[in-house]
Amino acid sequence: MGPALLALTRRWAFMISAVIVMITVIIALTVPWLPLPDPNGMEASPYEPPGAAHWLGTDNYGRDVLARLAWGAQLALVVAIVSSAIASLIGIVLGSISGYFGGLIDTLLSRTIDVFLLIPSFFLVLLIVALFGSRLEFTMLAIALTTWPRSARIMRAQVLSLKSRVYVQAARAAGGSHSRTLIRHIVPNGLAPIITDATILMGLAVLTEAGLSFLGLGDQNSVSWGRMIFDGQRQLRIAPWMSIFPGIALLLLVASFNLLGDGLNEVLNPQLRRLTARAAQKPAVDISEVKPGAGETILDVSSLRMSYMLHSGPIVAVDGVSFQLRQGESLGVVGESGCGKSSLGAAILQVMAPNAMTADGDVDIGGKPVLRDGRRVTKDGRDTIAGLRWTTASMIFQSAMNALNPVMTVRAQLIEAFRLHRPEASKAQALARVVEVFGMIGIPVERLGSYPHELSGGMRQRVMIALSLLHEPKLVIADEPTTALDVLIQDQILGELDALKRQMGLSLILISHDMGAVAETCERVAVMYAGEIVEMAPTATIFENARHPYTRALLDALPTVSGPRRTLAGLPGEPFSTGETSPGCRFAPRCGQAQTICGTERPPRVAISTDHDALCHFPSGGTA
Amino acid sequence: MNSLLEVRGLTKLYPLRGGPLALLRGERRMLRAVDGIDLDLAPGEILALVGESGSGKTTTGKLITLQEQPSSGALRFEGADVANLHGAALKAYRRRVQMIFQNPYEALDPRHTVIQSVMEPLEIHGIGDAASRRALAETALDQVELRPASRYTGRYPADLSGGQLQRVAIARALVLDPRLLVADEPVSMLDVSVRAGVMNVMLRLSRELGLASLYITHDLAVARAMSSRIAVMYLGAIVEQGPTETLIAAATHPYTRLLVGAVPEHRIGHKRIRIRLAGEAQALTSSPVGCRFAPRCPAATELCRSVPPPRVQLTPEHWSDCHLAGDV
Repeated sequence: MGPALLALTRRWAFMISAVIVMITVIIALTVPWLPLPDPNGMEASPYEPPGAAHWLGTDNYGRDVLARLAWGAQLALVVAIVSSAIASLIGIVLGSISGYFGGLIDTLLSRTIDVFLLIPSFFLVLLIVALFGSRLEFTMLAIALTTWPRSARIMRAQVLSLKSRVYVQAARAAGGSHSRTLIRHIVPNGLAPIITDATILMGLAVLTEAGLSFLGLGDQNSVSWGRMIFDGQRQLRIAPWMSIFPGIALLLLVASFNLLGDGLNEVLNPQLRRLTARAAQKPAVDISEVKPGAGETILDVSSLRMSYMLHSGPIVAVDGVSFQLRQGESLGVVGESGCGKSSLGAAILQVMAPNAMTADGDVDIGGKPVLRDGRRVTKDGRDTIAGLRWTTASMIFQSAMNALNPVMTVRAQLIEAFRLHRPEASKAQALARVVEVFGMIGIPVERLGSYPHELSGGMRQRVMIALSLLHEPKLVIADEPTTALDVLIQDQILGELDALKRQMGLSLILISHDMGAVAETCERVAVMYAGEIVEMAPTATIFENARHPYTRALLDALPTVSGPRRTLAGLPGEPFSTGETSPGCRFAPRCGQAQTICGTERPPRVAISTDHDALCHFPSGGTA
Repeated sequence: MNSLLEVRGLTKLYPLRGGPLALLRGERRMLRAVDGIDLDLAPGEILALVGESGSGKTTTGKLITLQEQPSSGALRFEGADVANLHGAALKAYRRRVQMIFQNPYEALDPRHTVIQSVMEPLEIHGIGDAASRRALAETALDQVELRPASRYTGRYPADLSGGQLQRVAIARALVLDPRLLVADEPVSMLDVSVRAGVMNVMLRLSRELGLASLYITHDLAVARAMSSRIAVMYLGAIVEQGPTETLIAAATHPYTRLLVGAVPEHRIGHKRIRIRLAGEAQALTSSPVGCRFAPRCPAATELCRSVPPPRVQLTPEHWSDCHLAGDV
């Protein structure tokens, strides 16, 4: 079953459960006015099977089962709502205090919670009811008293993570008191899982009450499903309807509460929100039907188009990108967040998110066709790219912490990665190669035994580089490898990449939002805007003689430590949003030199020289 | 100098959790996050505090805004000692000294609209009524160039870009009419293209409102664009301080020179030498015997490793804590 279908069935389950709960609520609210016999009236004859007079039959005292079921629904809902409300309230208050203030209070409360969670709650309820009597109020209170630690524990965890949020610190720094910050900022943002859990508590409360009634410890004066089952089970042979119908009602309501909780969780938890749809990939094409590309270039990308599928429709991230990379050459891909530069890297190596697809374009890596008209090229049923990835072309990801497995040592991960592509290699051979690569990029060998969290950000990024170099690839695509790092570390990492490029004859694509970062490492720069390469030229040319207004704007925004101090120019407006469609130049709304034609006609790709082009109506700067 | 903020010997120690053996021996190791620093800030001035992560620059910002209590040292604001403020006096101080944080994506409560977030400090301090708070908040949004303010007031943080979020955060700090702004890496998480816009807003505010700033950053190029003076911090201590242009052009401390050298150069015909730095900064748990930078310093001598460096006054405004500073 596909995930989309699965999502749909989950929604169906949510809808059905919501309807069941709703019907129960309506019945509970209107039951005094419904044309039903008195639930305690004994007018009819006992053990009457379901029929026209009594739809669900009568019980051993001649009471109408349907009427009792309806009144029982009222009781079930009252118990569910009151107990879970009390439990959640206690949980929110104590959990918040415990998480926010920490220290001794936290230790005391946490231990209390632990103790409560250890005691089987049903026995605790039994004890309370046995001691204080079986009135409904006591039952509900007893249920709340045994379930609040669940909520408290969830709330405490929420508060612990929320209290370090910047907006919480900011509210405190502005002079806000603890209680104000807690009530205004922390509790409202932490409530979602509590609400979800409350529905599960409701189910639990209904079950507990029914259990108590079944044991004869329920309130004698009220009609309860549990009591009905208890009464019915003795007459199971003669009058099965007495216990079957309340049993079904109980099952449906409790299951509905739980499913409702699942659905609510999905709605309230932004991480589970499914905004994206799975993209239908184009069918693969066999290598025998494909003409290979030129041999000299390590990478040949032509008219590559890649889009993401969202529920609202497809969004084009890479829109007709073409370029070639010679063996040993380095290219910097520069642009703002959302310009498609990372998507470009992912599309080339076909390591895209499940909701992304290449709609069009050809890619050749090392002369081997990988993509034709947006279709993956296969050989003997296997994607050619799968055979090239990591061995011929590899990738360095931005977030080293997320890309490494936190519970494995660096050594284990690298050895595993090595043997994945060389299954015949022994552990010792793999380790030898890992040590060699570590030596090349300046990681002390004693760091091999470390876990990722024990390494500094710079060291982790080095491990990522080591990982990408294990199989001596010819092409490395580095996606923002230094963005999260200090300048000193950034400089060192870039230095390592530069040196490796020279030593190994590596071809490098460096993706970055920072013109400065690519300036010294790359021979050529491609500037991307709204999915397109708007200017491409040798690095020196880009810095000396940029023709596209966007490139110039990026350069003017760059602070320096050399040369005269100048005022930095910020780029006006907001980055092109991929949802927009414009008949003209996509940069026109932010361009200082835009003319009328820029808003109405797509700009041409103008060749400034043999290796320099720009996508602009006025690449010479002035009017045409 | 007519000082707005005067920091003397400011120190922050954090207890480190030792093993059971250390506990038995009664040892208590302390991390010297900020190790006796001096700083002066004149009204309207922007001072950049530059250093790597772990240098103590963020802790310094938290100490000055009194989000953390100093372990020792003096903190004077407009001539009055503020290091041990409590209650109403602390609240009043927080009105005068505001902070901007690094991560704009977490800076605003996701459930509050822009105008609610900007008005909140006014509510906390009980300033004005609902209408006048709204007016003040809209003025602040206009000051950070979110124009027209009405376009942004009803929006939620999820609808804004990083640059816009950081501008709202600045507006929220401005609304209380503070005298000092402590900005901790306010643009480091933004794209280079939007950094300049946010930086220019801060520069204009300092010029037009006479707002002083302590600008914390790891990037000397950013510091240069923002500040008139720079203090370079290494492992809890300020190792060199001077006017921005002097410090960058004529850095004497080897660490400062490393920082200058680490900024990628893209001017034509300018080839810088990449200095390879040994090792990583190790947090200090005791006062170092010699110079704290000596273990990584490419120019370190025997003297550097055994004797703490003197403060070498190069000009009345420029000093450097380095044995070799006089020779350069």
